[in-house]
Amino acid sequence: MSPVASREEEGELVRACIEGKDAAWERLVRDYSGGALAGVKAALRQRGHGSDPALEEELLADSFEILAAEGGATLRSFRGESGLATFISVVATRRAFRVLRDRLRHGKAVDRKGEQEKRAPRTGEPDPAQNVQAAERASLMVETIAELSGSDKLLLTLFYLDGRSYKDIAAVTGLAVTGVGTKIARARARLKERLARRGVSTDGSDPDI
Amino acid sequence: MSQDCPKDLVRSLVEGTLDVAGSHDGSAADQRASVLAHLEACASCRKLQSKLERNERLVRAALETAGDTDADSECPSPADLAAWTEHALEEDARAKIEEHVARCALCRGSSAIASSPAVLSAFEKGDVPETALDAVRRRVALARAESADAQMSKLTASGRRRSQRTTGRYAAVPASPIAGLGMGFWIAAAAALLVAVGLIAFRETTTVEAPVAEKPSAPTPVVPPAPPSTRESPAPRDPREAPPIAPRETPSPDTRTPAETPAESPVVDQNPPEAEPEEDDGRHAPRGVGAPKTGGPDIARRPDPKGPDPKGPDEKQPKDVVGRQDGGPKRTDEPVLACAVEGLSGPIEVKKKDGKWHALAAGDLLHAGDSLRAKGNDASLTVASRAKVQLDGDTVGTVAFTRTGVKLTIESGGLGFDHLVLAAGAGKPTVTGRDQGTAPFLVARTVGAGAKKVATRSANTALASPDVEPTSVHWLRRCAPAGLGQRADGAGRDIPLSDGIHEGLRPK
Repeated sequence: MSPVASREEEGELVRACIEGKDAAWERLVRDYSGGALAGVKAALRQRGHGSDPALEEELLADSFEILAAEGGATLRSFRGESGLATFISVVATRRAFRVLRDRLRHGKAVDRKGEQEKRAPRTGEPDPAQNVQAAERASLMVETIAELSGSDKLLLTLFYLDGRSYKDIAAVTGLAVTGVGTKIARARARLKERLARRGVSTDGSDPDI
Repeated sequence: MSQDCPKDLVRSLVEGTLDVAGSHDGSAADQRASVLAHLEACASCRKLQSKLERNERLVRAALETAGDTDADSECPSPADLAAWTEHALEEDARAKIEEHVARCALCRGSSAIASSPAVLSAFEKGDVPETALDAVRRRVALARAESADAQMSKLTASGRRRSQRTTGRYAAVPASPIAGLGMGFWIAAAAALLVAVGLIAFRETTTVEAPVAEKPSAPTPVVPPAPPSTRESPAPRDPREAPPIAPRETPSPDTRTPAETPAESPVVDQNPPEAEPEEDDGRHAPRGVGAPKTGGPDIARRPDPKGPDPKGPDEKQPKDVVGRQDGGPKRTDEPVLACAVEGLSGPIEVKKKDGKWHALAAGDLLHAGDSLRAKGNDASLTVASRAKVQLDGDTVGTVAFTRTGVKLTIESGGLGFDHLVLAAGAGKPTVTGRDQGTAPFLVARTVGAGAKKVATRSANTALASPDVEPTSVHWLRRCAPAGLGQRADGAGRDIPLSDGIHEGLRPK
């Protein structure tokens, strides 16, 4: 069954799986593994992970196990508002991101400890007052960003944090590609305005931090 | 800085929005070239650029803090996120999820990938290696089987205690266990008073239900008609075991037959009427249900008390312990599924009896007697969704998975270990090991996150665990010899743990 299958057909397939029909599960696995695997690979690439067929296959198997576990609880949550392909992609990519995040945390914990052990005493400490000022400024920025509307925050994080192209941002947000740049600029302007109200300038007129 | 300096363009360049810089004529590329040329010539604009870039770094750092929160528990369900991705939600729901996605890198990433044309087109192509599909099928079959197990456990735990029914004399229910019985039992008992003959048959049928909950956990792939892997040998069926099941009951013991549409039959038919007393591993029947526990954890494959070959290991290269198991546990062809294989810094490798080392992947079937090694890497292996083995560094050993427990043969010598701390779980593990000289190893059992008991055993001695329901098997870090105490006698005794022991393991 391809993604062009109707929502009704997808719903029937899901229902049959939930009812425990082996043939339905076989069909689900066979027809949706390709896209799920592609999603897993994209997730690994996005996180800078190199090609790892064993890991990719493991994550693929994890994803379908998640669908089948606990009486198919995850699959039961599918409501048909989206396509089944999108739903399974979300399950697969989430699994991949979480596994990578957990691995990264493990690595970070080890590295941090090692770094602490190796760190030499610092000399030439900067002015503590400047440190406090910089920390306050950073904190104000975080607070201000948190106050932005969801759509502004999403645009700014997709563009500046995730490095998404206008085309990708348009796909995620539903905006027209030609309007994404303008929306980002306006979101940026609103952020600047809010920061200015809090006494934080981003036009370079502040003294050096 | 003069009035002609294109400060706005410099700002747009730094912010990355040069292509929407308003009223300036020319394409973005031309504007960029123009600004860059100006910056080369104008020191004050370069100074401005530098300040703006510093601010920009702060903004991006603030975005990173705000946009990469670890609010996993707040993530919307896959259905909600998928619906949001396809812009299929109502305004309020959409805004709520949008607010979360702005903060959550995980959801942003998932949404972006799920909506990408490349991934969507991959659903049509379906280009997946058959081995990967087989692994998926096995995992699905396992998950479905476990769901069925859990469902049966609930039925069993609803008040039907086997001990109450061994005589079939429902009128003689003792008073003391009444408090532990659930509503199901009372409903059954009440019905028994009304329809005697019919209830006798019903209760006799249900008396054999308890062993159902103790059926072997070895998963059997049912969905794929093809053999799971060319590496595994066929599994002869133990007549004492329940037939392999999909989540539904299937009468045929042949695991290779195509999955047939299962009947909605009750679980009572799945087990032989005289199942051997099996270990209660806590996953199926609750405590107290089932036959009295036997002394050994592995009735079918009791290890050789002599343990593995006492010859010293090759210090340079981990050896295949399987080859040394002369007189050791006999190899069985009953496979166990490797559910989750996580090579944190490198792969886990497996070697069959006559084969070579190769990377172990989830979905592979492991046989008792297979060798495992991490070869200088950290890794973990979850088996049959129950026992989890973590391989630390150069650990090498052989793992045997039984219906009722896990048996580990650990080669600790020659690898720089002074002591090896091991937490054994998943039923009643039997641990045999060998040491070098006076290096004992510790054995602890975990229930959840805490250690139940710590005991020491000398090497080459089979350890029968006490009646505890551990949940996992861990390889722990090498611990320092100081503070570990003396070698224990045959019964084992508690000793203090050294600081080098894994954080998650503490004696009660």
